[in-house]
Amino acid sequence: MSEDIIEAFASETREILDGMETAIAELEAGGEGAIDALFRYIHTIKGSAGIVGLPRLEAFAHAWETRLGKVRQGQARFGPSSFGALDACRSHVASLIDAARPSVGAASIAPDREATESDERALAALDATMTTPRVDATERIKALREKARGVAVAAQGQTAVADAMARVPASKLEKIQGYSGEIVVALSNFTRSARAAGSTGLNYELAAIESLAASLYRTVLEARMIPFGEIAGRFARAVEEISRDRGTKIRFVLAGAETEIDKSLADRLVEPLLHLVRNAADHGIEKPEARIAAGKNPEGLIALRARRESGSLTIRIEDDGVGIDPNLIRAAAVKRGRIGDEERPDDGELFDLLFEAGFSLSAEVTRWSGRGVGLDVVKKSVGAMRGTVRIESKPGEGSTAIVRLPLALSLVEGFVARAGGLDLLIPFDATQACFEFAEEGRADSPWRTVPWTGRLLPAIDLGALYDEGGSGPGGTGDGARRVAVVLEDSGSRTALIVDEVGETLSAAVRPLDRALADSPGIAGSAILGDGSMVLVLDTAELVLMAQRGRRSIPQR
Amino acid sequence: MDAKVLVVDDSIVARMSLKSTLRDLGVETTEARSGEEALALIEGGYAPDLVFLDLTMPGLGGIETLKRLVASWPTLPVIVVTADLQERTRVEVRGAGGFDIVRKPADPAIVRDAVARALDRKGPRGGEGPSGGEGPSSSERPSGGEGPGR
Repeated sequence: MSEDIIEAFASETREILDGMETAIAELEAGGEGAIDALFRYIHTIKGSAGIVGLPRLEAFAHAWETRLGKVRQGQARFGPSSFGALDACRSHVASLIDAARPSVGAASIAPDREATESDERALAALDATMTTPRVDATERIKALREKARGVAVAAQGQTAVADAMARVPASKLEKIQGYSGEIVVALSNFTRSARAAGSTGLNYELAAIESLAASLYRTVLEARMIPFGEIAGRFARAVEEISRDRGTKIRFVLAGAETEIDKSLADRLVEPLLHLVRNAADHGIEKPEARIAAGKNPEGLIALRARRESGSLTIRIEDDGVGIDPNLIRAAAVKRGRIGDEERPDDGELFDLLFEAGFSLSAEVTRWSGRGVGLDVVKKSVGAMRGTVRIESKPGEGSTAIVRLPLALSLVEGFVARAGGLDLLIPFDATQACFEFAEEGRADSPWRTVPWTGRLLPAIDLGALYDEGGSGPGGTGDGARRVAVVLEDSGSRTALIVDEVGETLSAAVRPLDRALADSPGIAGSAILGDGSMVLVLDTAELVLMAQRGRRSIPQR
Repeated sequence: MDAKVLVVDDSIVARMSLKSTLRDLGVETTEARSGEEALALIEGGYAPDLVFLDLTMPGLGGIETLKRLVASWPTLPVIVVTADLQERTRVEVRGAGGFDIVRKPADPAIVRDAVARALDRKGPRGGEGPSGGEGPSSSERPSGGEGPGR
């Protein structure tokens, strides 16, 4: 019978060790609920260890459990290195089980000193990574203010009665969303066929169903959204750790915490954003003395701002630190043979080079960044979400990293346009004005200018850019009537030139097919109510392209 | 002792160990792996005389299960088993209606004593078990040596 218990112990602890691994990974990913599960696992091992006569394991589990208990009660906090230390403790538990010979009811043998020391070392390593939250008046007031703001924001968009919540697995939500999207398409196919067959009688009923289907789809999309603030907690902690490590003073600000983003996007955003935030804290903000000497406030500022615009999510990581000198980048690039000595790329293109693998300006490799393997991974991660990332900087004043993600599952309101044979959807929120004009001379290159209110705007001729073999009613020759759509993004104005514009509508933007993924200026595609497909324009990217007059330095 | 005991714990090792101790006392035991399972068992008609309940379980959890047991079957004694015997825990368990607390791993002598006292509490009335009015074990129990003085 004791054999049975020992066997049960072996199999149970194996399961528990697996469960611990998952819980630790969840904790690291920001899932703070996992701490209860981890606490229970350790508690169970403690109990079972006592039952099968493993006092050393029982004591270790108890000590480990005590630390977790403190975190649960808010008396201690995990730091970024804690998860590695937690996993080391988990391995330590596994080794204690392997080394011991459990026997039910065995007299407890005093563990030897070397053994106790190795137990203590594992726990001390964990302690070293944990922090005690500062509990002073300013912290409390800040916390209260945040809470008040959260309540105010929540109250704005919702009814007075607090909403009950239901837990739904994300995969299920995705399925529901898929079905509702297919209903919209199937319905429009049906409508088209019905009309083609000459049926006019059921118009009213069909319109009612179409409206319901659209509402269903929109509601499901909204269900998948979570506020950006939910993933942003780790960033403040990271900044705190690094500033303490480096002896700098940094204030961290989060703007746009209530901005809604798709949950799956949110999860994948954490890593790349964390890297960019760490970069800003580690390389951006100078020590207080250096800042004072430069006439700056000794406390540096890192701001994380999230905003939705034109069917994209834009996240800016701004710091007011040393900035990056493009000349240094240029010198390093020439030295490595990345660009020729005679080439004169502009600042934007130079900053783009920072995202290439192995390209690092940092002389010192710190604990957090600077190994030259960071930014290219960030670009890849963001690219995998069909997003873009770029850096702007003014040496001496600071830098801004800008991450843009197409909100592939968002509803966009805009108007239809045709250019170069393609059906496009231009989102409203970046559009300022729209006007007709007549071509003078042939429209050849996509990069041109167009006069507007006494100025010359940089413009992109989408007909020339996309040229799928089609043109507007007026052709492209001299005198052809074209339409210019004026866009505004972060203070810059540019224009898109198309052949014609049409109705306004809202549509759900979906991610692009692999084949089209590299198309310049396209954020995604959308299926309209009648089943036809339009390409949704990425207005911010187009504005950038117009200003540069081209895409980027060609890859070697 | 003649009694039916329900052991509730998510750890199989803990259940096996307590079961083995209880069997030595001549008590018939049934297991539940969670608070939810325990409640379902009793609601479904199983009528234990006593419940051993682990405190830290996922899902419904020990304290919540205790509260529900006490609310639905007020005469069913629940002995809470836990690896942590802090004063705060004792107070919480007592406040939720727990009959007693026993430390894990359970000393067989302490378990026997707790079982005896719990069954004794039901003794004089001849059993008002969970199914209401039944309770064959109590009325069949030999009365020798287990008077109210315990």
